[in-house]
Amino acid sequence: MAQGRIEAVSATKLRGASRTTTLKFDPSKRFVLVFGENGTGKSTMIDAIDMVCNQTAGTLQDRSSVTVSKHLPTIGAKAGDLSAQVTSSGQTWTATLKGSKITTAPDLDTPNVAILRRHKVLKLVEATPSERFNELKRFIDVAGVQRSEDALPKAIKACTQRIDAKTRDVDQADERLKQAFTEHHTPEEAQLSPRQWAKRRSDGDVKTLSASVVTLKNLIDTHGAASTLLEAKNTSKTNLDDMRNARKAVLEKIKAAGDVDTETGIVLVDLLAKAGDYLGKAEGTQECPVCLQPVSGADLASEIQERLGKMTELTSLAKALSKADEDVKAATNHTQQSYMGLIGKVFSLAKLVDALDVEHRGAWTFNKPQFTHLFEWADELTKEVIAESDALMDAVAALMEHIKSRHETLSKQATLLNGIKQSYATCVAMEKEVKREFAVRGVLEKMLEVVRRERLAFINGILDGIADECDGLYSKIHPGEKLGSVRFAMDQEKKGSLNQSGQFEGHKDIAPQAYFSDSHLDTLAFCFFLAVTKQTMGANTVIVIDDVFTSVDMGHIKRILNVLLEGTEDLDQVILATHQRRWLDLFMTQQAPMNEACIIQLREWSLATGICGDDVKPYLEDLQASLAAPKLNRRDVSSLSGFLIESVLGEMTKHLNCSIKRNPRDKYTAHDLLSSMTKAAKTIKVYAAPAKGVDPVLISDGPPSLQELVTDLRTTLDDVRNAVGDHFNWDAADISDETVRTFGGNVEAMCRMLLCGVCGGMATREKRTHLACSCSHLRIARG
Amino acid sequence: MTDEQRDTTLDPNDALAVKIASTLIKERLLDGTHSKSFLSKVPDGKASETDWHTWAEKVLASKEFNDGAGQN
Repeated sequence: MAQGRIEAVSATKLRGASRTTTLKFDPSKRFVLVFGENGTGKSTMIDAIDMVCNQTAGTLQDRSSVTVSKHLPTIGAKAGDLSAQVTSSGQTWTATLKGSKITTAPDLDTPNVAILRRHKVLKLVEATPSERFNELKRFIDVAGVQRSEDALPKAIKACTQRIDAKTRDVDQADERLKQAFTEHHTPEEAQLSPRQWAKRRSDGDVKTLSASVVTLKNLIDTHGAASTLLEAKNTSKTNLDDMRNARKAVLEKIKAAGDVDTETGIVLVDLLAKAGDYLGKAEGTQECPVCLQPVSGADLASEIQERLGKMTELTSLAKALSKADEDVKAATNHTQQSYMGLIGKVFSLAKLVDALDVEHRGAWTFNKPQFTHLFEWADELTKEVIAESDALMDAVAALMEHIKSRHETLSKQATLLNGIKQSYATCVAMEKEVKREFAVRGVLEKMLEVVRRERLAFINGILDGIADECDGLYSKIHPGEKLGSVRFAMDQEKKGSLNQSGQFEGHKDIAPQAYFSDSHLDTLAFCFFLAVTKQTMGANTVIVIDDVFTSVDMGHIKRILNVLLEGTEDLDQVILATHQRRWLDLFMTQQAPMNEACIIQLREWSLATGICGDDVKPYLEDLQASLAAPKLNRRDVSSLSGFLIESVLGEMTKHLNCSIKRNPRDKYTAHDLLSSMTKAAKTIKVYAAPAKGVDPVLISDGPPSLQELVTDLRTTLDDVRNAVGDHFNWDAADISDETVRTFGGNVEAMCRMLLCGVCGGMATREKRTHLACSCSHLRIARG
Repeated sequence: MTDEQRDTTLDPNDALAVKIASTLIKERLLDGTHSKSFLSKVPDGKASETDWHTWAEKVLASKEFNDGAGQN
């Protein structure tokens, strides 16, 4: 028993389930048929499964003007009254409705269920490409990867833009080199390309040249600074002379001032002024600060001021002399500093000149011994140093014009060479980067190729897998018909769009919905659903098909049933709900393997009784029960026997290719069929196994043999079946119960011989040497 | 559906990204050391121009690519 099979489903106050209804499925059987005429509650019970396992409102899910909380409960019931249960592997899950939300408890490990409904069939087959895509979206939607893929062409474009920009840089640098080459190449360099020339020039000693430029510039700057300091020194010296002359003039004025000893007078004025200052500070003193004699401080101060007033001119001269002394002193200091600054700078200049390469001096010569004191200068101003400094400045003046001219020449050479070097370096570096970018772009382009290829292969792989599976199933249902070959492909122009094409009467790539009949579209949708489920959900899946096949004929029903029984072996369980009685009769007459299926028939529904369902037994079991009953029901036995003769022999004579007297309606009586079977019964050999796993043994030789049973039935058919079972006439009164029981017993024996005891089906499958039932425990070898 | 099944139901973007990364590495168009960053961005649509460029640069710089470059 598979782990995921649903064993029971219950519904309470769910749509048609006005009372609690439970359908039990035999877990040993993989196929469940729920038959019920329209309005008996099939979809309600499937809705219960959908609620529990998929938490959806089932039939009402996509219907317009429907509110789940209002319409999912039985009319007159409340959402809180509603519940649905599913039991599988001994565990039960319960779904309830709160508002419009469906909750399943426990919420783990619910059976994996896929449900195909009539309205979904239209979505799968007749839907627009985008709707069809949505049905498969969760399996093939790779929008995330596609968004990342979309960034790749942008990366390639950015790479191309960088290549273009850097190529332009190379072109511009080349243009500069070409111009420099034209202007500056020597005749010996004429054979070189601008690049070769630039490389050669770049390899030259730019460092030495630049160093020379720096040295010369330093010399020029130092000489300039020394010249400035020389001017400052001269100005300072002139100023000092002026100060000295001014002091001399003051002294002469003092000398001419007069009768007192000038020097003494000046000292006295100074003394009186200081005494006056003292008395001003020592206010109120009553003694002389010099002789300490008693005297009024105020009177003494007044007397001093009077004497100073009389000595005014002398006072002014004294002040002028004092200022002249200070001026001379300051000028002397300033002049000394100017000398020191000048000598220091000239000292530096002397060293620079001494170190100057001969090539820079030109014709100028430097007689160093003339400047011994200057080169040995140690911050002391001596006449020798001052004199040598002046001499050096004079000597260098002749050199400086040459130095300035040479500096200008070498500077131009250095600028040109640096420009060439930079342009050449740009060419080399940019070309390297362009090469690198080309390589990156190459990788990006290959990446894009791989990503696109893998994406398409991924999606097409899934679609092809589904299409192959779908096509395989479809050809089993429609063998030999000139239609099918359904393919699916993503629309390259539109995102989220899945196109569908098929074959019809030799025409390829047609739209199936335009050419296929309704029944063919139904089966196409069924195959598509089954293929998608198998490809994408895998094993441990239960599929439920809710009244999908509305317009298929009996031949197609049998083939669909074969697909469901044999093409879904990797699925846990198949539950088929239908209102077509043909499906039910296939099993009741055991044209389908009755023992492999769980058959449930839903009875008439009413609001008061709710949904009613019960198990269905095959007609053969009814006959056996009637024969075993202590009170023989003659009509039931006769009628059931006739029904079984027609259903079993109707199918077997076809598969055994028995000859039969044809009629325009292509419908045959039990008599026709028994006559047809009589000849075949002589030659065929029936082998059957009593149980699963046991080798079949020959059973048709009896006793009684198949031939004897068919012959006897043919003889007694008219009397028993027609007279007792079907019609009223007085002849039936002459037929004993024993005859009826024997007739029924022979029918039962014939059926047990022609129906498999293991699977419950007929041997209708063509094998190379025989016919076999679905489980191969019953085999019929033609004579 | 069991938890296990839910866990193993790979988002198609993830499944595809794994396939792409594997092929790129096989074809020496992605340095294996970047597969983690690749798989953290590509399935979610977060791989930018810069990311692709970085991956391409790295693969060019990788010894494996340089060794094999001459064979292509």
